[in-house]
Amino acid sequence: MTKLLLFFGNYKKFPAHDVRKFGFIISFAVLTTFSAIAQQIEIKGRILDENSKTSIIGATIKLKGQKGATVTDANGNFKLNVKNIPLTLIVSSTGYKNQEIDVYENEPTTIYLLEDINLLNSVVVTGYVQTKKNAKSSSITEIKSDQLKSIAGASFSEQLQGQAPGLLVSNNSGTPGSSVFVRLRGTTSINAGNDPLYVVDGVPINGKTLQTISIGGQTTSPISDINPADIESVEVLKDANATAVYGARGANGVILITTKRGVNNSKTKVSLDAQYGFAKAAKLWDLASGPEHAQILNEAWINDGKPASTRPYRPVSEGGLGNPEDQQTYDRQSLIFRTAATQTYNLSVNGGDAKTSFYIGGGYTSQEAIVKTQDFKRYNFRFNLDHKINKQFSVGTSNSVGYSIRSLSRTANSPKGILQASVHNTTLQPIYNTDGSYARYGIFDNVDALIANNNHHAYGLRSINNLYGKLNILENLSFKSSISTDLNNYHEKRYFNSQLSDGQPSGVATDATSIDQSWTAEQLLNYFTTINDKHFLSVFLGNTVQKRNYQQQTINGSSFPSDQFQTISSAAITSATTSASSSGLLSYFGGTNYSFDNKYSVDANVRADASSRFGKANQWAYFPSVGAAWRIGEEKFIKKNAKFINELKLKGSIGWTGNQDIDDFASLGLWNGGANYVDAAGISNSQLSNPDLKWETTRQWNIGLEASLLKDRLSFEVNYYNKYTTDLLLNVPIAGKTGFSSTIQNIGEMSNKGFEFVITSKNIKTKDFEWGTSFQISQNKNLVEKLPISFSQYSRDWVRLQEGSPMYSFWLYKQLSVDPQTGNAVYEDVTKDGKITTDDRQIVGNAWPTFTGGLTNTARYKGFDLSALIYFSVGNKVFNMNRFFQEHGGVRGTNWGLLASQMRRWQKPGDITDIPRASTVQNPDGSYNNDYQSSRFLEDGSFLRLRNVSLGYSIPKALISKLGLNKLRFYANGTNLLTLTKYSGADPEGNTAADQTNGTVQGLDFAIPPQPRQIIFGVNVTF
Amino acid sequence: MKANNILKYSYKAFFISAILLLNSCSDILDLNPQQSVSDASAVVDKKSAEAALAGAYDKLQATSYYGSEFVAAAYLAGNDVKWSGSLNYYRAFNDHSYQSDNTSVGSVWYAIYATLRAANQVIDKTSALSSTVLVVADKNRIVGEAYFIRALSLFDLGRTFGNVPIITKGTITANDFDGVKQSTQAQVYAQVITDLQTALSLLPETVNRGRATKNTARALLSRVYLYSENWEQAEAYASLLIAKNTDYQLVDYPTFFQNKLSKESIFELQFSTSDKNAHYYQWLTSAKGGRHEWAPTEAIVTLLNDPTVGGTRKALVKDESTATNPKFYVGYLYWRTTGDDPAYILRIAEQYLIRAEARAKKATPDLVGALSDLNAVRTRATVATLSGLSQSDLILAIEKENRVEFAFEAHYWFDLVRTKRANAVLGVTDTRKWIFPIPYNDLQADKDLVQNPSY
Repeated sequence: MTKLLLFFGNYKKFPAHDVRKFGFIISFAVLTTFSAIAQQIEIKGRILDENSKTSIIGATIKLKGQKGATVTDANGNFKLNVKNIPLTLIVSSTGYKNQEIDVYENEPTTIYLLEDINLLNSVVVTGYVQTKKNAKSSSITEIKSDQLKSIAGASFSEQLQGQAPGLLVSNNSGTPGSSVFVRLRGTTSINAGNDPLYVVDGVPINGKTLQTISIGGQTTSPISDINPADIESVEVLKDANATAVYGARGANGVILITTKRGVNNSKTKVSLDAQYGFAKAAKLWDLASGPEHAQILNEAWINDGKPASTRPYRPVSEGGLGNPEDQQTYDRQSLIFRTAATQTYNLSVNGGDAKTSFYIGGGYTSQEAIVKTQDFKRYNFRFNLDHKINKQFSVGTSNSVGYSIRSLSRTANSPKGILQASVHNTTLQPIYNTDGSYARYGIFDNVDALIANNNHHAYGLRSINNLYGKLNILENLSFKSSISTDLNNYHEKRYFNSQLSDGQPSGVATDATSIDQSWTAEQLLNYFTTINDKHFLSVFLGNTVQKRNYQQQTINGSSFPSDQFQTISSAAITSATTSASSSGLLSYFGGTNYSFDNKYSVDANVRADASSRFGKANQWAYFPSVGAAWRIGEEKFIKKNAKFINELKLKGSIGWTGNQDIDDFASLGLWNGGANYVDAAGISNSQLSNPDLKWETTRQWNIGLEASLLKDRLSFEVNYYNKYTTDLLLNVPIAGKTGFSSTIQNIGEMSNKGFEFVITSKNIKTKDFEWGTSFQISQNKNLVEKLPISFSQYSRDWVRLQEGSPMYSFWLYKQLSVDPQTGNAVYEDVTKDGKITTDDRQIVGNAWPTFTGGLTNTARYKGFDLSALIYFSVGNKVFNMNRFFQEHGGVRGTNWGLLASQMRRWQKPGDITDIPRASTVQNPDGSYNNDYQSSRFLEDGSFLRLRNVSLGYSIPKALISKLGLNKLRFYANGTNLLTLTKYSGADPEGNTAADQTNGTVQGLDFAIPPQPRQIIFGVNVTF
Repeated sequence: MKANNILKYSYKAFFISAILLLNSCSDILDLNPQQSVSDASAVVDKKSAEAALAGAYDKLQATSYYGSEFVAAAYLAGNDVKWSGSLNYYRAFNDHSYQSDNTSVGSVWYAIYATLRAANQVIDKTSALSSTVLVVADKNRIVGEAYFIRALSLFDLGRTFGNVPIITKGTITANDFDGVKQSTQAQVYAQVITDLQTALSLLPETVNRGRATKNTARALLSRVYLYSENWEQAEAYASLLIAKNTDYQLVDYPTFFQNKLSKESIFELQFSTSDKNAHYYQWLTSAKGGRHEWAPTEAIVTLLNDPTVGGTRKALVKDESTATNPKFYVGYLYWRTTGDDPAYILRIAEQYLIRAEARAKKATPDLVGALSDLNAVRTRATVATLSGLSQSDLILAIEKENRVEFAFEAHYWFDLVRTKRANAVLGVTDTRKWIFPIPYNDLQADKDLVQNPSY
């Protein structure tokens, strides 16, 4: 690393004028100086695109054989002072063929440039790989920022929903800045990481939350540190041929994010975007009233065989609590939900001269959650710069700094949290005691106390930086060296004062800091050549070295002098814990791509990775891939007979990728400290050694067909893939008598198979009116192929891993019916022994959607633009834990509230319903009617959502150009405007177990704030 | 400088940097954990042996063991404490409907085996140390304490699950104990007695209420002999402790549980504000920072408040009912909102009641001695003494005394099961429910295990 920096230091020794002398492109500044000295005749003109007749900005106009040059302005116009006429102009612009124009008279000329098809067609770069543009054999989806920007969200990952086939995106909660569940072509691993690798401008970034203070199963997202407004495009690398060069980190797919950069020879452009909007819950919970709750408790009392005369809700005169109908209803739900305000401002400046281009971006967003006490603010700065020192050598940098401030509160699986205090408390009991103090019941805290005294903040500082030098050794041979860092500092502070249940007796505070630092050094040699216009060959070779360090400190304080003192320095009792870890990854990779006659292409890549996380004998692993593509559309028989076909390509690939995303020292037998007894420091054997621990490997093949028809008006792509993972890095349950419940071993196999289809149509395209539609759908079938032991995830064994079933399977007692005679639930007696025991639990369904997809429509009429995205998910099951707890049929008495759906219970013989009678005792077969792991709470979570509608109007240029503006657009964006679903909960996407390592638990909905309906108004100005 | 010179320099610099980078980074794969040590170097001297021993006590403190769950399983099954919170698997103990997938049953099982493992590792690793790094006296004490912890773990496994595998070696690999099948409860108790005798031979003759000493081993021996119905030995060991009346005394309620390490305690597991006993959180109400996961039943509240039964032991419960929340009771044995309540494992009161029962039940019953022991415990609670009881009435009175004396500790349920009275008193007709099921998940992972009948 030091050597690299030394080199970058070195180049400064070259005198500046030497460097400049060899610059072939002369800067605009120099040019204007020249022309000011020796002007006589002014020639004017305009440069337009031959096809579209639109102006070309930043085209260079040079005088042939003499000094003098200029570039076109924003309208494609140029002016140039010359000494005499006639003369010859050389006009050039990137992506166009050069043109020479003879000028004989001094009158305005219009020059048309032709697109340089050869150049556009020639070489594209994706990650490391250079290929002929249309010759790719990989499965990659590119998403432009236009497609994302109108969707409300704190991070780009949530904006990706419905944008890329094969990419499953699910929003774990409606809290801004919280984690998003992302799976690319299924889940390949169980206990190793399953998130795709995110690479921002070449920097592999940390995608795992640094949160250490639990907020009830919800996590904050480190991806939301990145400002979506800075993103130019997102490429989703799906098949093994695309991801194998990411080797040990490629098995879950790779998401490449390219941020905005300046353009050489372009006018400096300033863009300002301001948004303001509101969010509100579209749906909340329908709770039973106080009288209804009392009625259920009376019913359960009687159904349990207790005397009606002593039922709890009987007249006060009889010693009871009053009849059910006399009970009050206390609404706590409306206390915590609000109409949330959100605002976002982004300012960017970009431009460039011949040698240097830059992008400077600054952003601020402030988003309130619909749950009071929660909000998210983020400040972002970005600076990207590219500079050509000379023809051979260029340097550049990409930098972002983000600072996020969150106000957090506990929702989901947190009994002392605000959501449960609001929604899960009974409606039967008052919020305040008769003396005016906060009333608390069961396990819950008081809702008003939680609102008034919430003090939990998280401060995230994120800096992602990359510095590169690129040397064009030959025209087609380049060497790029880069060094990148991802620094992530997350500071959490929480204070429970003595007004809160968790602040007893006199205040409890936690202060936690996590620091995650990683750096990557990368060398890349790239070569391509074209021989006889027929053969294209590219080769790359590279090496990366990556190191990650992690440190964490938590300080706890309790017993504060009073509620005014909130820093831990004033706490009487303090304690602290720390942890630290590190890992290293050394990699070599290379690949080649060959295409013949622009018709046939093959490519091959290989990566060798060594990870510090594995046993010494198994540190190295190799990940090869091969792919081939055949552009059938280029064949004569198609060109001749099927002229409507512009492109028809068959492609296929196979490759192997790995996964090393486990604990840093998982292969070692370790003893940890912290196992203290009173004042004696203690140690404990924390894990057994497994020197054989090695990589998890995923083999994937992909076959696809791409087509473009009718002058590219209609295009589609279909892919089928098949992934098979072996040597799963699994926390395998081992015999409890060893004193361990599990060890990590390479055991088990898993498959993911699926297809992806996308079709895009330019329905109408006229000068004033354009309308385009894109539809995509994908399916993934996940299956645990081999697993010697079935075992559970999460509490109460809701979720089971079992050979022959997919991941995220629910393990439940299958409720067949409610006996119309007795009102008891009838569960399937799998073992047919007349008893319902653990052996009768079975996998009833899973959280995987059968299909997901999106439909996007975009339309433009003159200055108006309209776009809409519909996202759908079909077949995913949700375990509605709210119902599990809140259709308790009296079991939980007044300790837990009831949903209104409880009132559908069986009441008398002949009733046909899915909800058994209110009762708290065991049924004759050993089962329970209520509060049981019953499939009755497993619901179809399919949904169709109008994810986004965006309407904009751009003021005609003629009007705004007088103001010096280039663009002025007003817009309104609506997000989650409509959701169609049979799911009875507030949001079918919610997942309470977002904090489960590697997301092994999906589809558990428990006290999750739903994603709100949101409307934003904005204005975008460019000048 | 010419262009090709720049080229040459850049070229060289690049390649040199690249090559050096590669060389300097080969150590990137050679990382060592910063906060852990390897198994081989974990226990090498006195300090590390002491640390490993502290680690074994730490396992006893686990939330799923004496830190609440194990104790709770027992008193919930004893039916004087009822589930009143949100985790419905606790309800199964109240109505004895626990099945093998019961979360609490599973976590108790794993927590006790983890303790057993930690004790075995201390025994193996410390015994292997030479006298140059660890003097014999220290070695004996450390190993002796570990033997006590092992004995306690095995005893708790045996009385909870009945048939369990006996493990007497430290775990090194995942497959170390393949083939080790379950032993019967009697075999387990026999192993416990052997271990306690070994501990007795190694431990110092001191008073340390927070750690295992000879006295601690004796106290547990008397209990195991009681469970094994070896009345003579039970009486003998209890007598040894009762005789030490300067070190161990019946301390008044509520003094004994308002303070720590009182003379009442033979062995109490200590906790601190930074190393909390989870019990307070389960017992206390939300207003006091707890979750009121369970509560004393009306029946036990009535008994404790009865001056002829509970006496000063009424301090263990409070009635916190309100108009809309009637019959709302809270237990206060674990009362510290700071979480540093001790876990009471062996108390001198128990030795009195053990001896009372042993004396009443032995071949030649000593009813006078038995009654005097029983009355000692009653007197301490300011409850009137009993007299003139027949043998069977006396035995019944001892049972009732156990119920109120150890209302919120891990006793009553085990007493009723051991005396085969769980049906008569609690109505648990199916005697197969008198021991808990082997956890379903461990049955999947351990092919040597056989499920207890009826589960």
